[in-house]
Amino acid sequence: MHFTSVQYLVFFLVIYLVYWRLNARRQNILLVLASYFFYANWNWRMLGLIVLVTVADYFNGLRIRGSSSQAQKKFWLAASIAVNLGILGSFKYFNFFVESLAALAESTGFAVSFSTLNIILPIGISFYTFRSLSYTLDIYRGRLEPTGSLIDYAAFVSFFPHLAAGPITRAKEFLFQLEKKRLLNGADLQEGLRRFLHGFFKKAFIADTLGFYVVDKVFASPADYSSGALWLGMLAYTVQIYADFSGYSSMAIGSARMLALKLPENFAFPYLSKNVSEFWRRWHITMSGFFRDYVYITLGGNRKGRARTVINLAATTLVSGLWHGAGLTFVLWGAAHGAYITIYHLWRGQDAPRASGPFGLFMAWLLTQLAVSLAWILFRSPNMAVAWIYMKGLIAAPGVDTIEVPLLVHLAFAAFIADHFAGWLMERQSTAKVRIPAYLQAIGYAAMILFLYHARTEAANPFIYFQF
Amino acid sequence: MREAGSENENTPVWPHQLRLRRGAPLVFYTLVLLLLAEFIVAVVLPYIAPERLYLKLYLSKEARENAKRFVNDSAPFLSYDEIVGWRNRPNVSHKRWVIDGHGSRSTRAVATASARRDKVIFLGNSLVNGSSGVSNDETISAYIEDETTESSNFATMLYSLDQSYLAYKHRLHEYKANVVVVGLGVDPGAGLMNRYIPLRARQEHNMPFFKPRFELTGKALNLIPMPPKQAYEEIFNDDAVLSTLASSDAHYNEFKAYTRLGLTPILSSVYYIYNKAEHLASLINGDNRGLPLLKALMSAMVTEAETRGAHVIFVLLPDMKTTSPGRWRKFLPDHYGNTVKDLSGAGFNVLDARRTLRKSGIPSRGLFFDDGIHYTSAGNRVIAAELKTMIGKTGGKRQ
Repeated sequence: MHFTSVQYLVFFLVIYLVYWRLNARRQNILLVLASYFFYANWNWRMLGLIVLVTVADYFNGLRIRGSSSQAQKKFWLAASIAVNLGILGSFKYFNFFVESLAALAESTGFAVSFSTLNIILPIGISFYTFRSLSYTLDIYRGRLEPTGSLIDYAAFVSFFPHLAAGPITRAKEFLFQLEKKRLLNGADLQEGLRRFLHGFFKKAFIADTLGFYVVDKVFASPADYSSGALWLGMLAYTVQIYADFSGYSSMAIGSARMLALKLPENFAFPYLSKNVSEFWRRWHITMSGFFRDYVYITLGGNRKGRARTVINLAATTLVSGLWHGAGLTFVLWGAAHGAYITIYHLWRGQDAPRASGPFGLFMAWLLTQLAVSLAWILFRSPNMAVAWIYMKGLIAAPGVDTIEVPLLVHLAFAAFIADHFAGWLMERQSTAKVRIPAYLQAIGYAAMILFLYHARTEAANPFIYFQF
Repeated sequence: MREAGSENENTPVWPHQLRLRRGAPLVFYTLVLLLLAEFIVAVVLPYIAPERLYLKLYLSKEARENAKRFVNDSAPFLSYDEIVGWRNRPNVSHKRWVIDGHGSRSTRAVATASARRDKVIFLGNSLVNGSSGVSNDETISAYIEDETTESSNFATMLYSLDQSYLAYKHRLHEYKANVVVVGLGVDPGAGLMNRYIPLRARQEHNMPFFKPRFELTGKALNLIPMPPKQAYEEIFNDDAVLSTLASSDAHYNEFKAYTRLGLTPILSSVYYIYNKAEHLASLINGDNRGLPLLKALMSAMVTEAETRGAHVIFVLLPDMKTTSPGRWRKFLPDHYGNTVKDLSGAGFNVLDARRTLRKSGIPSRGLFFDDGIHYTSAGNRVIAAELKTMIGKTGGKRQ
């Protein structure tokens, strides 16, 4: 049941209608039941993992808070980390590590034969384990009081809008909202619907159109295509992954908002960035924040000298790459960003000239986007061989095939540019908001709905970030 | 604004929520505009826009291109036939699916005369032809072959009985079979009142073709022949073709409903629900509209075969849901069983393939491919075994 499916719209409508008839406690019970139904609709057997994580961390949180000594606190935190990372490791990384170990052993001359397991990857496992882990970590650090309600905690972990693909909401940002009475008002409904529609448009039109007409074809056999087609494919994927993931986040935020619950923002026009460090402040913000607070700062952050800072940054991006997927391409994608950030910090540390003036800023922006787009090739390719063929092909392609670009693809690119242009305008004129009358905006939204109804590609793809 | 869960929590909050204009003006105006658009599209536009414009929206780009390819004789698997609509393109293959020079999916070259005792030709749709999931040697027709029996499989994708009958009458009788096996789908009347495939099955992008049909005048069968080939071009440029279909295709109303209800999200949702309800009603009550025409065509087929010295066996081919109805379907009336009884009672030689498949003891998953419609080699083998017995019993001797 994807956000863009009719089933979800019906499901949400039913939940919405019931939700606002209940008091706060019953609303939370409804959210738990609805979320479990939402997840079970994909695979009910995997629901047990969410329940396990929820119950374990609920009691771990209480025990960390109730511990009289630091050693006891550490013990219960370790238990929480073991449960979450144990589940994540078993279901997501077991085969990757076994295969990598076997490959390493073989490369050093040892013939080994390890068994891998036929393990299904539960949707959203990276998201809900991290979400739950943030709860015990924050209690351990004294930043959060544990909740006394298992229902509230279960609602936080499993809340269906952010269950499958984030944002990675922290307990301290969300739990208190579940403890309060929620107010039914038109502003939340309007903002929620607006965000949901924006996200729907990004996903169902921009991402799916580019994926179907360009990206899937080019990445299926890059050796057949000309350099021009490969550049187009790279740019199309750069836009597709943004529209897909930010679209999902927007729909999640919109769904929650209609229930008078606020989820954190996850994207802030990342392709406006003029350096890679800025890119990570704008892209998948909740994940970046999680790794910053719980990995980078734990490693020492910038408190231990410049060299250590750079190492910590590179290590954090490497872990971030691994979080995205159990594969060499994801690790190398993380490593590429680690290298970018290292180079950027070294450059800054040398008192090198900063980009200034329109031309300098434009060149900084262009270089950043080129670096980010090239790294996306690693992210999208099924394996390193394909990624290597693709990257070589950008300069000298063996193939000659071109891509037929229908009008819809041009419109998808145009819509993406309009999205980022609006973001650029908003950032420049944040204090002088242009007020467009509601009825004029409504013309745009009604047109958008009718356009989506007809232009939506039939070969809709599932959300890319579901696999993480 | 109201507080949910307050002391008056049992008081309905919806009247307040519905005050959209002040609380959520953007939602209010958007809804008003959408409703206005729905009204214009459903009520005003049909009086202004010609129907051929709707057809361009109704058919996918892929369907329009496939129709063009078909008319230009460059469709990969089918070629144009001015009597039947389309036929198997000779000498083509796809995966395990091979069509010989006669347009037959057979295990050997088809001869016009046979030294074997029985010569059987197979007519029908893709269920008889077999999907690309089975090889030519794993079809029903192949499994009945032995030293005394040879077969030729002329079944063609999406054929209904009227087309099988016309194909036999005009061309396939030349193969001098003494047994004609005609496969009928789970809903054997479907397609008999249809002349333009997209009107009945919009999603059928690969075969947006015209077909002939018969109509019953009293007890007499009258042929409404294929339109001329240029109808494929004219249908997008001239409303006359659609007007002809309006009076001769029983599924035209589905297209007409689309012109009013299919273009906007709210009305099409309503129409979708209506269609689902209608489908459910047909599962409960059955749809017998095509049955008189079906029986008349079956009689014509039998008569035609008898004049050629052959007899006909009709095989009623069930899908997986009919063979193994799950959950609530078990409680619905057995329309398949009723149809078998009805047709057998009318004196036709009918093989109840469902009973045969159930008797085999093989689970449905082993008998059907994932689409739940086409048979695996195991399914084909089971049906062929029963068919072979029936051919023996009904005296499949060469006359």
